[in-house]
Amino acid sequence: MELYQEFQLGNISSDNLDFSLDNQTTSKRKDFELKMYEIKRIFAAYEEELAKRKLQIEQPLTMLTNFLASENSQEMAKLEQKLFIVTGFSNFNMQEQELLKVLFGKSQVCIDLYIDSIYADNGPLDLFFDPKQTYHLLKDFAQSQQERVLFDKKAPQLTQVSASYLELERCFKQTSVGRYKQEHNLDDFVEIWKAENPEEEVKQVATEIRRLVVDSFTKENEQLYYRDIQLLTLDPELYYPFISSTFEELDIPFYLDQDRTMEQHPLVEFIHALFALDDYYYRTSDVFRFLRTELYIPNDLQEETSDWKEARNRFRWMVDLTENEALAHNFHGVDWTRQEDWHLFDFDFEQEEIIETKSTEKLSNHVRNDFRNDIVSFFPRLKSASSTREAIVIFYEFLQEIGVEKQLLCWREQELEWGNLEYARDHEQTWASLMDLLDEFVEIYGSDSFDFDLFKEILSSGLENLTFGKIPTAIDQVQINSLDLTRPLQAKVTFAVGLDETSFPRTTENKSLISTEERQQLNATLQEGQYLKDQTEETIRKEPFVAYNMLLSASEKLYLSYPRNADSKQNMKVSPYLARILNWTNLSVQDHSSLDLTYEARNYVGTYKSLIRQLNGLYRQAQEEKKTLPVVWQSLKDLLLASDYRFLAQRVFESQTHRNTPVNISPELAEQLYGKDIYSSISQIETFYDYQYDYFLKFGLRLKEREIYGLNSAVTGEIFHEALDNFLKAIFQENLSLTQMSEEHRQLLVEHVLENMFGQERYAFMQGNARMSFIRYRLKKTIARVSWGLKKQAEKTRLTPVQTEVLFGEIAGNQGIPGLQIPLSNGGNLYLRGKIDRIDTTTVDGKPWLAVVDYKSSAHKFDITDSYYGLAMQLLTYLDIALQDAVELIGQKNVHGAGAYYFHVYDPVMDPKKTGEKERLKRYKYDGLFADEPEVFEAFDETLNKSQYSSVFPIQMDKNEQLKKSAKSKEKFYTAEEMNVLMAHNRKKLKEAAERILSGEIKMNPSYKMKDKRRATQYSPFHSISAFDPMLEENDYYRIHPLSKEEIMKRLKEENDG
Amino acid sequence: MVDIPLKPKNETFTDKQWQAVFDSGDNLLVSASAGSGKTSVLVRRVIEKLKNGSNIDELLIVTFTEAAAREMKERIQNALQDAINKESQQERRNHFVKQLTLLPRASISTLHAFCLTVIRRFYFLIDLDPVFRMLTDDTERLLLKEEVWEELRESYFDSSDQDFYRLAENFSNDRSDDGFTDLIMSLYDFAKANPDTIDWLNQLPQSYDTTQGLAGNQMYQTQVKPLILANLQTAIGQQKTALEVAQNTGSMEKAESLLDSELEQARRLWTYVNEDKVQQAYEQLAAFDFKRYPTFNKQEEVKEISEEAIKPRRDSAKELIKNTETFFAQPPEKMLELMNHARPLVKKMGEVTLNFIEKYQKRKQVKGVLDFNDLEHFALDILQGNGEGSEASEYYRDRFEEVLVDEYQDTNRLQEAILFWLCNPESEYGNLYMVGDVKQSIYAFRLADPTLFVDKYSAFAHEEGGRRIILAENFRSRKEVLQFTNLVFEQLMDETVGQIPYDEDAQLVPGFSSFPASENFNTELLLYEKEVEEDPTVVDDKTEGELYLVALKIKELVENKFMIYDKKQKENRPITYDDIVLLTPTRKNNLVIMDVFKQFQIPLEVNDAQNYFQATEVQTMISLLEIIDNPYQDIPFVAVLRSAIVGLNEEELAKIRLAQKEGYYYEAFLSYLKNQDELSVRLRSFHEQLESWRSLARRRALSELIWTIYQETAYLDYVIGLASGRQRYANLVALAHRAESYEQSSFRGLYQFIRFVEKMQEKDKDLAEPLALSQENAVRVMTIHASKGLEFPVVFLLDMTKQFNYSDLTTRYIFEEKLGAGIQYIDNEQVCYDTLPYQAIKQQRIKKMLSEEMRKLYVALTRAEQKLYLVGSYKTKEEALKNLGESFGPRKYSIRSCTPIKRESQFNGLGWNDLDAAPRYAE
Repeated sequence: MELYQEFQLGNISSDNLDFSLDNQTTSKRKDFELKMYEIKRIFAAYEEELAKRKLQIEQPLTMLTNFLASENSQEMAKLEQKLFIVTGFSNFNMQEQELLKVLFGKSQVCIDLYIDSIYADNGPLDLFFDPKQTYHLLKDFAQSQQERVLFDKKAPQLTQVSASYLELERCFKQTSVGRYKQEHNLDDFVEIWKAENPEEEVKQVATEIRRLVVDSFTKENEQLYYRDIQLLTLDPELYYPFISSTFEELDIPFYLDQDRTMEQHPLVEFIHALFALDDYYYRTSDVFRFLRTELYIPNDLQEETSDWKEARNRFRWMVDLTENEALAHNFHGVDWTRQEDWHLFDFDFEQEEIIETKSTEKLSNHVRNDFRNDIVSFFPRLKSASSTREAIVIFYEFLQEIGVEKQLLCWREQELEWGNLEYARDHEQTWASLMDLLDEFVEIYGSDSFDFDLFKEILSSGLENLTFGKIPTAIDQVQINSLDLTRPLQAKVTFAVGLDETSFPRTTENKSLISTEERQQLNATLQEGQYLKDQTEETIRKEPFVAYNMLLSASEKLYLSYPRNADSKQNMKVSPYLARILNWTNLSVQDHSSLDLTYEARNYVGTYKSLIRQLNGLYRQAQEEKKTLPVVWQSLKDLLLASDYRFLAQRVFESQTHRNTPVNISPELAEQLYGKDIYSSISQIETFYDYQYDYFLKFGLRLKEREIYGLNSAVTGEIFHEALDNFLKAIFQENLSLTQMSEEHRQLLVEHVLENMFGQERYAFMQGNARMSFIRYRLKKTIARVSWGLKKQAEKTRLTPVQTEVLFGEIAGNQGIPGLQIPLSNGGNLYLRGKIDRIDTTTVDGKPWLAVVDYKSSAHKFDITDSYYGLAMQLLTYLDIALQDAVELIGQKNVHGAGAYYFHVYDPVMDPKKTGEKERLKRYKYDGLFADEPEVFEAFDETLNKSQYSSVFPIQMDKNEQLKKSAKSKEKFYTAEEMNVLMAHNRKKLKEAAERILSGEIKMNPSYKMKDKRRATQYSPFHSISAFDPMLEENDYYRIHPLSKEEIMKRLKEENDG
Repeated sequence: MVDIPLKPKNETFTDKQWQAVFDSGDNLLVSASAGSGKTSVLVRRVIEKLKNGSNIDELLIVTFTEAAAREMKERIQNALQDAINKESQQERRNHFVKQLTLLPRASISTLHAFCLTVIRRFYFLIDLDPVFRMLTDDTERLLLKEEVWEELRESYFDSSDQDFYRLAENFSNDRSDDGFTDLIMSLYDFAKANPDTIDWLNQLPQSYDTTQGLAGNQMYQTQVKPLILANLQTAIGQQKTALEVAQNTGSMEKAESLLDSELEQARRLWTYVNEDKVQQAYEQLAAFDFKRYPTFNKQEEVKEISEEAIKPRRDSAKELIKNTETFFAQPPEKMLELMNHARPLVKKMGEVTLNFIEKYQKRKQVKGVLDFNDLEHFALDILQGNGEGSEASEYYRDRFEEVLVDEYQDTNRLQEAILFWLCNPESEYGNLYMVGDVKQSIYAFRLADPTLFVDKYSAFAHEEGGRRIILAENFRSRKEVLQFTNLVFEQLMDETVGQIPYDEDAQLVPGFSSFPASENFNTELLLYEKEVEEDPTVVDDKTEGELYLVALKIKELVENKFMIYDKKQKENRPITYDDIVLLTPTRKNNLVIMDVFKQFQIPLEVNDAQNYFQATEVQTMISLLEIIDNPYQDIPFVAVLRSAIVGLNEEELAKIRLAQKEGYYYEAFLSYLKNQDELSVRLRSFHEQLESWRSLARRRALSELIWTIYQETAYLDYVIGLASGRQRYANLVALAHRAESYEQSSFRGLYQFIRFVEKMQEKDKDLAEPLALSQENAVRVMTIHASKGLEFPVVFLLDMTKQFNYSDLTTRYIFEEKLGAGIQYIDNEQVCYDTLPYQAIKQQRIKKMLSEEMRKLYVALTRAEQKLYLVGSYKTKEEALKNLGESFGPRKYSIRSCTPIKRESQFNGLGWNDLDAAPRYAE
């Protein structure tokens, strides 16, 4: 369309694109002709379509020209008496030229052009090349038509401007050809500034504007008003936001000459979102993108409550909650279109609880139902339309039914209430534009059969390019204008910002369909009166002229500035135009950097509001440079603190003393929060030692991460645990023995167990899609392999599983064995709860032994440093509990601890050099604490031969057939006494944690393990709350240095002795 | 060759530089080592061309970065301005003035940017819709890919395609299929760097062909066999020498017979391999009889000879022979079987990737976007037409008098193909001018292919296809730095490792003569001894240990006013912090560096850190936007409450929770509003604000919402008073800005912006912080990559003893431009086998990687103007000396070609004990 428009303006019709296409031409020429031929065909088709629909693209200029040219009008006679003044142009397009030519013949025309002489010295490089060309063109035409040129006159030298103004004009003109010599000082007229960044630039400009205006109050006759000042920029996108915020802050009235496009209006977003629903078949994100527009509010809600705002708030609330559920359950596609209600099943895999969902279920089904009835049903209706007219009626009715117009009206009212006249009009205008669009659509395509894609396309793009009407400007405002449209003496004072090397001259890229060369080729074939302009070339060529206009735009004072940095662009230089002036004159760049302690306060003072930020920034600088605030600023601060802004100021100044340190809560509050008795899992206590602040957030404030559908490690872990538990339970129930059952039996049993398990509701989410069934298949395979490992281990060791998933304390309403209760100083108790994955037992020489096994879905090693500091307490606590409650658990007294082990649940990848059962079994070898009692070694592994290492336990049989600890694992063995010391310490740490929690202590002390550089902050989901920042003085890690077993035992002994 | 004008007397250029400016008429390769004034030469060349009547738009100048292009333009502009001022002849002046106006649209840009202009101009040759926008944002691209991949993956899983299932399983772990997704995404990226993606993917299964037996497999013939033979050849050579020495020494019968037997076996093995008798070779290798090497304790003299001249040679031969087992880890029939298993998987993975490419391309088309990758591919498609060139290619070849490519060593094959269609294809009229230094090619991860440079470097030496000019003189550094670098690279680099020899042509020659002589600039070594530190609680981490040394050294330099030469002022002056830079291999240690320097109170500026969204104030704003979107989110909600925007403390937060102990925190907050205390007053006012922002969010542009929030909360004013307030302030302003440009480029509205930021965080992506006031006078930290092209008076090179990271080579798949794809095969029993192509490619990649590491070292060393510190750690001083010394001496070959794996870190293998420039040992 743009190209078509261009052709029209150039007076070129598609017939001009007709080339012979014969074989004589060069291949390059042929390509060009082929391209023109294609364009011609497109244009022809377009014109045909226009004709068919009886449409006409209006070319008002051509119409006017034709009208004036037609002789028969009576009015024509009067034309001769009329004088047409044409001003501000430097060149004319073909249509305009045609018009001028007609006017030449029929009336008086006066045209002004900026040229220094009528001779173009430097060809296209001449500053005035365009107007000069125009001059000759028009004059030649006039002469050829024997029109009288009445008045070919050079305007007199300006007199009301200063000498500097003229000097600058001469300077720019002459330096372009390199022969300028400065004759007059410019510094009273021009200032060239550099600032740190665009924002600072605008701030400096704003402060200067205030200063100028205020200073001029004292001068009679020379009073400067805001309206005498203009601010120019080439980059409104970058500068306008800064201008708005800064000028508002400094109380400077201003007028942005900006066309706001409808693109940003929510109605456009609504239409995009609506069609995205159908295009991508109700993806979760599209559904909520749509609902979030709030242009749709279900009728039943609106009926329930007569108050619009209340209905909206209610729906907003419902959508909030429904969104959370939809994300957690991955409701998408058919979930939104089907009739059946959603059934929410939330299971907290970490806490192992079913989460109550009844009320959310009802509410989200309400949203879903409304959405289905109102929105989903719309698409089939629309698509079934037989004609476009019908479709548009359906669409219109749909908008009305779901109340879009009503919402917009309500918005308008609200904007009026808030006093936003302009925005209020926006809502109205956008709706009206949409209605116009629909009307036109009906008019043009009404009787065509309905084309859904075309419909979407037109509705989606139809509003985007429209602009809002403007509200007329008030009287005394700073004008913010576009730099490339400025003209000489437009204002008394001009500020031009953003004049850096990359921005001015602008680099334009030819994005049109026809390149510069092709334009030249085409123009060569065209008739007189036809010409296809080259925008790109012209823009580049005219850039010096734009600069010229800018330099002359102010009569009294000109400020030119550029930023050194903009976002990530660094160290930018000044625009070459300014560089030229700087080069040839004695002007220099003034460094207007941001406020510094040493700067003259006078240049920076604006309003109280802006003072707040300045003082706060200066305070920080003074701090950093270890200086004190200068007296001027101190007295300004006193003024501020006596003003109306003191409250705001005080609040803002708090940042000066801000420390990112938490406060402790009172013991009373702690008790209310956690209870007099503390019910806790071991991992919670570990969290406490790992990062106290996270503990407070997670278990004190009970904050949860947003749930997102998917298989996370907590869930896979739970699957593994549950599967192994069920597997062993099945064996117990059927009175089978792992060692004796056959391979096939084991496989069948696993199969059966998994089948049952995945059938449960909590795993329903894994039925979702084909990929999930692959993952399910893979998990099953892993579990089957692990069950093989269990069986093989059982064949070697005499330690036999007797209990699995032993509950202690209370979990999700199930009461297990008592476990540990530790009395606390507040009179309450710490009740520990948890699950011991497995308890194995054996008897050696009549002496009963017991071990606990903990399943881990990643490789774990027992780290005594972690255990000492309370970061790894599970194994010791489980062993402690199992031994304590041995009677209840295994029905025996005086049981000895054989250890506590980690068992890695996985399907190991094997090295081809190390294959076979034995190697695979080794990959399941236990790690943890092992009883340092040689008598139990034979129970650990019964199958060892001479000079063999066990593949289950870290023991070996040496060549003398003695069982002993394998050399590398000696540190993993603990005597009964050592274990007791560790367990006692463990209990002490448990108690200590509970006491500290109840005391209300909250520290921001993330642990930092020096050994593997693990920082507690790394995996914390709460970072945005704690804002822990190691660069802050007050934030430090709690460093954990690795200690040897020996060292720890020594410390514990000393503690006990002391 | 053309006539080169006589160099004027006052000309500062060297003869070589002068030649590089004026020479033409051929393809020219200018090998410009570090600091040799390459950019000046390039600019001068362009200017001279313009002076000679060329027009600037008849030159194509390709730079590696946008910044380089900008700098180039600026320098040309200055030179032109200068020429205009000096020129008296009107016509010539006009010519220059015209050049000045042409300059803004001259083709001086990155190849990417140039491709874009090609596409904009000739889109119709490939039926491309000319209305498109660039997909510049990483996250957006990632999301789009992910979306397409998820759909495709699901449809494959759904299709019960057996090969696909097995493929997925082969690359998944025991609980998730993420590894499989990684495979396809990596393969996609890799294939895309190839000029002909489709063909490359389709060829993949070929290396797994077994129809001709193992010996008939092309991968075996072209890669494995030559490597084995070369290894054996070296081994045999070692054995022979050892045997000769033994025979000459006499009274070493035991050794002689052992050497004799081993030599005989090695020869047999060599013959089998050479004659393609793979089965026999395998058996011989398996049965290779290495006896225990005898000791000669009785005769001191013999013992010495044995231990110094015989045993090391014999042991290295043994090692080389043992290494051969990598390729014969399985019997030949098993290897064939594995390849048979792997072939369908490789085929499938190519197919899936092709399918993905197609779907992704379509999705991009629908959205009307192009990504960076497309630029080059589309441009190539446009230029090469049906393979014989096109109108476009003709046009550019016609238009460009010369094509100048900077940093040519970082070009990849795809880019090379594009350049081909822009230059004169006939070598006698060559007009391609390439500048670069292969020793500084460190962009393998962006798939740069230094062999392109190397091949021309060798061919042009004999004037085949062009000529080369070598700029060796270094105008940057002190001779101490250069000598040290030369010394190191003489030891390290040869044609096999490093791809060109470090010979006289490659040596750095001091060219800047103004440095005053001084004793203080020898390169120094800072070694942290891990085991000697007395109190283990002080420093027990080697990274920290090394950094303590560095920090102490820096303090010392600054406090003692270490004098360095100031090139601008042309005199000595005391060192300041900003003269110093720390170069690190990775960004990983930045946290620790910041930590240590904080303790020492040394100002620090960490460069190229992408951690914008980690900044507290940005997180607070994002949290606020999140709850404006949906307040039923505990974490962001509390984050806002605790932040300065509401300013609650823990006590108050706890009180709110008590209003409702379970459920969303926001519900508790709502309940608390009903109270009548001071806190509830504050909460109510925040609640009102929040509600109004929520309404505003639906109706206003995002940036407007953000500015409104800033105004109503005075948050901007607040943060400026915090520590590093200016940066925080700049961060917040940038947020409004980035939100705005985001809304203009892709999506609209708060909802989508939040999703976008969340995805970004999920994918570990981030943006750079905007530049506030740069820290003046601060020590800078940057990666070696970021330091390229820069220079600093004093350089500390950190972490020199860090083990090379082979993690790229431990995945189950491995790719190579020419060799294709190697995969490991996992059988039903979860045994993971290397296939033959996998091993072959891996060896190749290791070799390349070591070369690259070496080049990184070169780049790092040549950054220093005056003083260089190398920092690393060893357990003890003794171990350090042993390791540093070992890598040189009789085992010279070991750091070279045969067993490149030997070099495990930058330090080992530097060949220290040979150094007279002896790095001083710092305690």
